[in-house]
Amino acid sequence: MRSAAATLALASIAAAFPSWSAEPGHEPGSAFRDCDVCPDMVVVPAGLFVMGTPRAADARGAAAAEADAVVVTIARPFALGRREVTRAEYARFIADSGHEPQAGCRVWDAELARFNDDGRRSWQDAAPADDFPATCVSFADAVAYAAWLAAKTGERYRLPSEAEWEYSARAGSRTLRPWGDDAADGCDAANTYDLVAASRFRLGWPEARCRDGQAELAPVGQFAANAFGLQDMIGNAREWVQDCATGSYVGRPRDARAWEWIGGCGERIQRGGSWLTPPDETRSAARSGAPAGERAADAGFRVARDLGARVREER
Amino acid sequence: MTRAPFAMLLMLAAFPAWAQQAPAAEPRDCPACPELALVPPGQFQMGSAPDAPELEPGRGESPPARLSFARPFMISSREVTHGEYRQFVEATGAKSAAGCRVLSGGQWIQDPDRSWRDPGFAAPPRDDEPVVCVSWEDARAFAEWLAAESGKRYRLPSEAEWEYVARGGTSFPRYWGENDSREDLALSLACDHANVYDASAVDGLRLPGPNARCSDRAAALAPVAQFKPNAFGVYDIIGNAREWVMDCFTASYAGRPPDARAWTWQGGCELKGVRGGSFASRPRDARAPARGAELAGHRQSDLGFRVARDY
Repeated sequence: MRSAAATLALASIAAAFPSWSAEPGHEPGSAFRDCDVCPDMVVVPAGLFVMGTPRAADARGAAAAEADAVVVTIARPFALGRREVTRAEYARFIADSGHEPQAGCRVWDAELARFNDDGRRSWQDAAPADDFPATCVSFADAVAYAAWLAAKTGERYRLPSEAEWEYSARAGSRTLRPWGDDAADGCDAANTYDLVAASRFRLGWPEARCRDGQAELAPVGQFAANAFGLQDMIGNAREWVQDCATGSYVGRPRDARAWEWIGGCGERIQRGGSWLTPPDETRSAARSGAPAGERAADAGFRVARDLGARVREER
Repeated sequence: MTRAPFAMLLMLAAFPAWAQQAPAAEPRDCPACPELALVPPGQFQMGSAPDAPELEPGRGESPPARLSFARPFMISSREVTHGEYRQFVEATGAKSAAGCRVLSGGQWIQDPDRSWRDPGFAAPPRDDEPVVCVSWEDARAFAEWLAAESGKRYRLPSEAEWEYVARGGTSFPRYWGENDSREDLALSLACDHANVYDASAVDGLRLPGPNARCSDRAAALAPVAQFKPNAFGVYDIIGNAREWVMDCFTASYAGRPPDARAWTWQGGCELKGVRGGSFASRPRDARAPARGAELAGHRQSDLGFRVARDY
């Protein structure tokens, strides 16, 4: 059922953008890896979509910007990490690059059901094992990781833009969530604040009325992929994107570009929510901002990569 | 009457390093350069509280942002005039596409025969009226020409600078102290200070919105500096012609720079901020925090600009 819908979505998008559907080696839906320690990448097709929540009044938790829904055109395919960057992948970057992130992290205390700022904790001990998402990473750490990958492979690795992220999370869907409108139908697709988590710790908000099998941060790739083949877009760890934080979409670029201010910005957007995110915010369009320097145990990232850049340069 | 100098004193007292600089008119930087007002540094709340009167939803003036200006700057005490703009066009040969959006029978219509040379009012434009029917690009080109003529850093004001100036050192949405105009109920205080859509404009313009309940004796565009200035010595910052600012427009202040800088995107933007209202603005829109936006190439017969300069 899901794969049939996925194939249909991909076919209709490919048909709308014929010139980009047949780039050799990078057909939409295919996967690749540029090096042994590089993340698994999925080719996301070109297409267009409605960014935001056009009938925001009907969607609980929809923030103001979502109501200014805009049609965004993703003019060419690009690659996006199938999963959130793992602690093992991040550790390799730290070892190779000499990047020295500051110590300190907002760590999660499940016993007290709250975050604590802990100056001694870091990405190394934020997750229990290597196959968990790398968390306790700042925006600059995430950008440095992508820059390291780019230098290592010669390919244009970077963070996804907010538009690319939402387009990829929706994967052709126009519902509130990739799997439909109802949060309670998503427990095979996303690690959010659900009955399992709620039985472990009580937060001041409601839980998704289903069981996803995970109380806290989960290893990457445990949940069903969306129609583009991407996993954990919703839930598990919040993900940094390149865009500056703002409260409205009025005036934003209508294409794949990140929306950034001249002179930089202190807050960047995070997308997708985490294992702590209430149902209202586990929507494809839900967005939040965080200070760019913040390191938190529920926030990580995935990388994007331009396709075909080298081919164009050689011509 | 005494409030304005008093507000000034307060601000100067707070920033003694700048207190020696009197806020009086400075000598002009070049023959075509406008008279400038010196604006002291300070802090203010840009935008309006969520429960403020006369908020227009969807324009992003609320929630407000707390801004801090570390340095003084200068702003032209008047809107750039028709005569000044003509000198620019004559000196540079600047050409702009014909066509302007003008008022006709109570509606705004695009008229291909109108331009800044003839914006279509009852009489031909006077040299001391604000120039209108100029796009954001035209306005910026004018500021760059002034910069080249004078060697000083002329530019459009940022949206933050504009609102800071428009409030005139007060926290009121109108520097004359009118918090809520109560459009249809109350006699308006606006007409001593600003050329807005008032009783004297109704017969000529016949706009659908409510008018200020007073008479400013101007049916449409008025010569600059006919009304009372604010505490910074700035005229017509509310009303007469709407004014372009440097900033890109988005409908929220969340994420904006916390200082005087213009908020602009990488890769540019289509929508630019427009401020201050005009002779055609209903009372609700003739407020310092009220926001508007137009496409950068837009030309309209109630839309002009003023320039700012780094100090």
